[in-house]
Amino acid sequence: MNPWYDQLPVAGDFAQIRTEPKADPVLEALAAGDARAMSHVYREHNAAVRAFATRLLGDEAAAEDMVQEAFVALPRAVQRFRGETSLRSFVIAVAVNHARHFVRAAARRRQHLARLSREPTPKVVAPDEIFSREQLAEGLFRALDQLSLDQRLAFVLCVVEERSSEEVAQIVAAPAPTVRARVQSAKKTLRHFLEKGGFR
Amino acid sequence: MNKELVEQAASAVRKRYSGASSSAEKTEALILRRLQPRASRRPWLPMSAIPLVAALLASAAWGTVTGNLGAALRAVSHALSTKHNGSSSQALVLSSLYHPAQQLDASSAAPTPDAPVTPDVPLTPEASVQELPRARTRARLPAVAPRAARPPMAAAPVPPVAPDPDALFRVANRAQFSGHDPAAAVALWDRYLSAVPNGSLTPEARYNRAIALAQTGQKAQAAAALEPFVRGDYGSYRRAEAQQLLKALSQ
Repeated sequence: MNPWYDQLPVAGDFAQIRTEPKADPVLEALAAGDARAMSHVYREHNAAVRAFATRLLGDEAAAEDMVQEAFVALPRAVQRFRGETSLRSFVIAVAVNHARHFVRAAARRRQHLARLSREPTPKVVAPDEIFSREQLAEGLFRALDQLSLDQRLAFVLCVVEERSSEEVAQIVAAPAPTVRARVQSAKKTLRHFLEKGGFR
Repeated sequence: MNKELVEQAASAVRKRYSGASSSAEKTEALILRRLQPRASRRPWLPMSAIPLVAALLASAAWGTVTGNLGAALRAVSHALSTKHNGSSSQALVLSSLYHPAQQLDASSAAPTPDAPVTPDVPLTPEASVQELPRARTRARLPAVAPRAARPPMAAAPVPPVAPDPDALFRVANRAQFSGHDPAAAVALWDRYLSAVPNGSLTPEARYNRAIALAQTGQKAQAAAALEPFVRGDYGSYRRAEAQQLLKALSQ
């Protein structure tokens, strides 16, 4: 019998796997802690998880740690994977479960920097477009720190990552209408804090 | 109210972070390294320790509640130090552990000719109570010489006053982002970096200095200041932004 890694799906199709874990050799091997399976799944999905983590935290070093924690937890978590969603969404859901600690740490770091600089957000938009875009992104992360974790996750997944509310509902394990309500509430709060910070 | 503001900000964050990272391979190696011990971990070791710990805790709790923990420990030490008549001393220890009242009776009884050795430590409650204050009194004795007996201290040299790094950072940051004076900010960042060349905020200071240089039109110096970030000297910290800025400066 050929080993599982000789029967790998085409790279692009991998995220669409919707089979029971016991029927999938890669997921079976991953659940057993197989390094090759982990390596394969990591290479397929690390960019998506990292993008989500950096967009959630606004801190690349913390996001890298969060990616690591999510993938380390994956072999145990994948035993619960029943194929209701894509594997990519499932991995992001695992990352979501580890988000709380990292969001707090990133917010604390930003608060520390802000306290040191007592930096109000800029009142005049810098001439260079890149600078103003950077400042707007920084302003958004400061505003995101004011949200609850649920609202923050819903906003980042729905608005920043442009996922459907149904997909986000599966990731955060909440009903889709609840997710939409969280996004609306988050938008309102974020708009308030961005305008308060001098952005127009 | 600008309804597009939040969407613009979300778009800025989306463009800023695409998920690409130079640390991806390093992270993969770390994950695989952390994966290996999981397979070889043995669950039986902590499981076997649970009954032992439970028994120890229960014994200590029993001894504390009945007030015989100290007496029981003394009985054990006595049993270990007694050279003669091992069987009777063992019986005493066991009876003192399980029947505290009997232990008191046994200790107050006169030694028989078969058991001539007197216990080194009497097991009566009075004796155990009297020993504690003595030990405490000894512990309270001054361990150091009186103040008058000490040699006079030599006057310590006063260390030079260093500038407060936090204040330097704050002033430089304010000059750049609140005062909008990039030229002053460059000078202030230089001052901060000379005071704190390797602090936790040093990379942020170097990055801000590079932006200030770019804002004053010193493109070559700004590009040189951004190079370490692009090169990955600080890992992934500000790397993507530095690449974008370098690209913008070269245009």
